[in-house]
Amino acid sequence: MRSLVGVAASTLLLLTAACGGGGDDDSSSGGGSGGGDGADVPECPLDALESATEPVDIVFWHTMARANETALTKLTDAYNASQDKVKVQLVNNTSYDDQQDKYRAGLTTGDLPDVALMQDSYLQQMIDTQTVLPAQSCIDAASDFDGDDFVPRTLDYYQVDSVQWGLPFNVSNPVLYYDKAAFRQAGLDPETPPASFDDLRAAAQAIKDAGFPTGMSLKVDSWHFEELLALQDGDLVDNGNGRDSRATAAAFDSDEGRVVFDFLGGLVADGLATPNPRSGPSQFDNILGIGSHNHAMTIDSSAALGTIMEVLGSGQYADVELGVAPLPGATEDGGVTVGGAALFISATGDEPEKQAAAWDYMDFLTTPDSQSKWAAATGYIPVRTSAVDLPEVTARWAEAPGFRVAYDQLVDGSDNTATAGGVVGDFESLRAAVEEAQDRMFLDDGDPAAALTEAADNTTTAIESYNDRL
Amino acid sequence: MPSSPALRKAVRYLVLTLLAFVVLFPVYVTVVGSLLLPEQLTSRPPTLFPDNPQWGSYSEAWTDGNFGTYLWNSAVVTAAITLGQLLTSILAGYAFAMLEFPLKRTIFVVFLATMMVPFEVTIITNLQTVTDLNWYDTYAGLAVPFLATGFGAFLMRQAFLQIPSDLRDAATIDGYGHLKFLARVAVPLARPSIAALAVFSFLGAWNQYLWPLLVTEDDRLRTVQIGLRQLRSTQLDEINVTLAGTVLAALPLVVLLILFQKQLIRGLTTGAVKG
Repeated sequence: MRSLVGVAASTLLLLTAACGGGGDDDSSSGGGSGGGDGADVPECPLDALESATEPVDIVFWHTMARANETALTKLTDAYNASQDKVKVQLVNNTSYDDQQDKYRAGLTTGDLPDVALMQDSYLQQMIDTQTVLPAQSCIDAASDFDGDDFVPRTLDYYQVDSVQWGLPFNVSNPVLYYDKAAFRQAGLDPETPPASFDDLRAAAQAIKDAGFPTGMSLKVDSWHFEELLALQDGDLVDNGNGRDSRATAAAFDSDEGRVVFDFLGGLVADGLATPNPRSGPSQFDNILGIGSHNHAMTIDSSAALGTIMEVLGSGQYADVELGVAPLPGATEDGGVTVGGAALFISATGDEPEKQAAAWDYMDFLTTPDSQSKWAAATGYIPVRTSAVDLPEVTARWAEAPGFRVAYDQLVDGSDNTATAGGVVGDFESLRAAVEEAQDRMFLDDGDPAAALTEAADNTTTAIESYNDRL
Repeated sequence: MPSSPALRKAVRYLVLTLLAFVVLFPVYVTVVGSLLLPEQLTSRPPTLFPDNPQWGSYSEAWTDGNFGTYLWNSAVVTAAITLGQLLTSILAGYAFAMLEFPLKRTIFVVFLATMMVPFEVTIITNLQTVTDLNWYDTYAGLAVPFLATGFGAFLMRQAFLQIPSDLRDAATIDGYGHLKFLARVAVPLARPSIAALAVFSFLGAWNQYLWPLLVTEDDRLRTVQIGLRQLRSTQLDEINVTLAGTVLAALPLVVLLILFQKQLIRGLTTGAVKG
């Protein structure tokens, strides 16, 4: 009952968002010709902060929990103390999804923040709310923005049609976790983890042959599929992965997509891997299973490394020796995309000093120094290349080299539309469709190609219906 | 088929015990989990008895999780909503049951119709109203939209309809006005229904999540369900703190249940039998 009501609520809020975007909003229509790179974006009133006579209060909506929230609070306190022009108030809206609901509701009432931390997959919807002042505007207006120092793909992800909409803040990507001790037991070299699909399959087979119930655990997570696709330079949706113009259909029912589905489906069908749900009570079993010797490999977010080290290193799994490796791919063409969230300037009212203050704060959060502290405290990937040489990060990486893997694979490989990641309005439906198809393939022995096609069809339908509502 | 009454009773108690076990086991796991060390929580087979209870998770939920403030806010808002609903429901229910006034049927149907509209449908308009009234980030914004419900008026009307008209006549002869009759006769007679309504209001108000999230931004005004979500564990090694928060958030409901158990059950069966 409760969940049904919840679904009704989110559907409603989504509809409102679509209407709200087209309706009572005036922020983006007044755009000037500030774009220096040829893109037509509104102007970013950076001067307004200089001329402000008293401190500007801005509100930042985020969703960081526990230790991550503590790290964010520390950074923000440091920012507030470092200058007297801007004062930032942090608001924790508990989760990406709930924050999206609150943002959608705020479209009607105007209760919106000045800066919002929004999940990667929400990019297109954020643009469509027409409440965002593109970061591009302020990048153009600021003289000192060093875009070249950012890890290219972290910026690329939040760039559509040459406009930088948000600034990446917390970034992660999936890596391969494995048990080196089990590798030795299975006659595998623990220092050469599997790098390709073939290696991965061979390793899973060897682990199983060494007496483990299965070789690896596969989380049923569309994000992992998207990454494996990008690793082969495969696009998720059409129109340049949604970056040249608005996506109109799924593009993942391709050779690249089939390679991934065939591979994953084959692993499970042959007993070399067991699927693991992404949420619910058994969501951590893919990790705990390494400890209990159910299997010896799994794929999970690099952001989970801290907690995985904590759990597997807590003493109860003394014979486990955790290894972290780049995500194995079918080919060596592509690269991984970023996951995580980005900072957006929400600009609904006519308050130039708040927009300028918002940019100033965002700029601070993404300096090499801030990113070095942030990455060291949270396990996220620093978005600045020069942050890697700063003391916090070097110390953390020296102590736990696993943290380095996610960064290295993000700077490795080619930068193109595939590795920038897909931009889709209704990303939730795409992910639901992919996960549903994987469930069918894994649990009901479904044909991988048919499952993939159905996922793509459902995604295209969802994209069309989203586009129709605009 | 068991023959002797004693045997039948034994079987009945056995079945009830089993069912109670099924219902209470998750609660037990939650409480135990909040007292375990993180590594005990993730151990397999699971640890089901805290041989070395860790109360630190509670103080962490209380201080880091800001639960003192959140629980207080929930208490204030819940008390306001519960009292408000009781007051409006009793008065409206009495009017529909005992008074004659123009368009009574129509108005009652309109009241009933509001029960068909889930709150989620009106959430945006309510939010708009609350914002227009400058009640964003206030206790008023949290409580006022829930001070009256069609369900409460309906429930109290049904309760008051059970009162024999002879009683009302006798009271009139004794010189009782409507308010006096309501306070001295009708409310005491409808106590089971009132208690049931109070418990339902309390439960509903205490467990609210989406609305408080939408109308607040200031941490000093947020309620315990939001606090609980903030404690949610994305980290395997902190689940004990999340569980401690869950226990803290559920405690008032447990106390309420124990205090009002009798009335609650009587209220439920009253409704069920007499419809």
